[in-house]
Amino acid sequence: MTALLQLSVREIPLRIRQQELTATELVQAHLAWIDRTDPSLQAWVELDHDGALREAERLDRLATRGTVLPLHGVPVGLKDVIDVAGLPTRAGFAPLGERPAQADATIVARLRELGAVVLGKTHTTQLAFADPAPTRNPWNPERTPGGSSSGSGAAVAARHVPLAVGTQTAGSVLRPAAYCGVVGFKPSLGWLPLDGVIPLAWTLDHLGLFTRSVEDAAYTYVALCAHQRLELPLLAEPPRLLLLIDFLELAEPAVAEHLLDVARRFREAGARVEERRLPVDVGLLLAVHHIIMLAEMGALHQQMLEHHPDAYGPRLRSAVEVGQLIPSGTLLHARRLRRRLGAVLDTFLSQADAVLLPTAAGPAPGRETTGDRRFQAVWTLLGTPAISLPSGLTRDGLPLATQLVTRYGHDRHLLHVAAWCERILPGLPPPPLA
Amino acid sequence: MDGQSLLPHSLVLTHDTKANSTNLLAYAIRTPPPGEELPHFPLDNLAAPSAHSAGLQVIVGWSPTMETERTNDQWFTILHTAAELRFGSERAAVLTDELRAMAEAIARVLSEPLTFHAEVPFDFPIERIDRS
Repeated sequence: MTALLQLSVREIPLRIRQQELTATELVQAHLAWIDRTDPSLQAWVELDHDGALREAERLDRLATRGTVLPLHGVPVGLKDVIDVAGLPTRAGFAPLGERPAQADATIVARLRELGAVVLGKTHTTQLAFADPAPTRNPWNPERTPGGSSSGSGAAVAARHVPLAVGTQTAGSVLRPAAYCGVVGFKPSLGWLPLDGVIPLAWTLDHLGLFTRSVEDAAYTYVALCAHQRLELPLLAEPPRLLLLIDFLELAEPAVAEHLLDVARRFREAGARVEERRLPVDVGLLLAVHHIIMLAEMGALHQQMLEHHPDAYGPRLRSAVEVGQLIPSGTLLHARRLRRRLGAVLDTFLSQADAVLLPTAAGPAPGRETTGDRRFQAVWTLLGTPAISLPSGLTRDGLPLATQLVTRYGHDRHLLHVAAWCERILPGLPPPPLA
Repeated sequence: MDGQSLLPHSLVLTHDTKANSTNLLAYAIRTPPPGEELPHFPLDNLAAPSAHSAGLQVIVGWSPTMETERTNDQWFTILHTAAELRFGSERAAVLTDELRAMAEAIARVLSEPLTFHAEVPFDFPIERIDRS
């Protein structure tokens, strides 16, 4: 692995600006590494070698003329539910066919405007639900990389790209990030329009970012949102954090112990960490999420299921069918509760800089599943920003992760808090498959 | 008769689990005396006519209280029956675990009363504002 593969999102345009690097060299290095390692990892469903190299050459000509964009030359992978003009959006679902997308999704167009180079499409579970993708976990090929953004998480961990985009309707960004040992950031609901992205459950769908550091996530987020420059960390003093006991009780003992150790480290570094319970039953939040998600899935797939029942994976088909049986009054009840619970939890979240909990109940399980969504789905339901930080390894060498969540719409503040926390946590080495 | 339950408001819900769990449901507002066996109504001869002829007063209308008081098992029965009717018995059998999870979710959500009249009539506003 060359040093070029270790460059961060933020370093790349700086190095190009200083003429220490060209976008073409960088893209060639990443494509060569992917070609060498992806046959075993299977993070990519399609690579666009020619298109990526053409774009890198164009960016190099631009740089020669003195224009260097915020994401100039940054190789990026896109989950295969996101349209990229000229490439098919297969989503692991055969009836969608091989017809290339006519236009870029908004997120892709924005990334291109900023100078990112699209290398290709990363594997997703079928239509971003729960039937596992072929992707392996870079830390252990017999474990799941998580889902549904399986390829995006694995690709960033394996140094195939420093930046990837995924979607999350339950836990599909944060969980793969946790299992693969990278940073996963899910901004607030509605952060960017989802046009050009295949929906799963439209009131729950989020876009999210995979990077190898909080700084890269923050840098990309700010660039995409056209916010003012963000320097990290900016906290005037160590943060106040609420450690959520509810989730420690749901976690595997080793994970709960790990989070207590993480909290101890934060305390020793000056943070105020208080153990608290959510003011709302986690089971109720998950029930509301489950009803809304499956009801929307059932509605979205009504016609497709009638025409192509056998094309569906077993988990997706079951969820769609059950979703079609939910009484309308129940859905309305759940949606109303969502709003009410959101208000209660917004008040709770306002008491601290962020809440602290494990990203997942345990380390990556076997490949027959994509893992447990309970720890992430609560925040997806509420639309709050959430970020997963790699925070250690199990004795078996699998990543463990810590999750931070704050109030809806306070995304940049969450990134500041996460940057502070990241400095306290031990960094992970590259995974064995990298 | 198995699965028989008596709920408040004199709601009578009958369910014959011996007959493949599919023979259900009649709602009636009569609480039977102790020891009286309730009639049950096969799916192909369901509800109002049978209940009426059996001397039960059939409920007209809908009560949220009734909904919130249904148990997980009752919701599972309702969903399973609907699955059989819509997707066939083979698929309904495949869906059993998912149906049970959904039944629990519905029962849990409906146990939370709402005050529709006291809440603004929209569910989840989406704003694209970073308030940091």
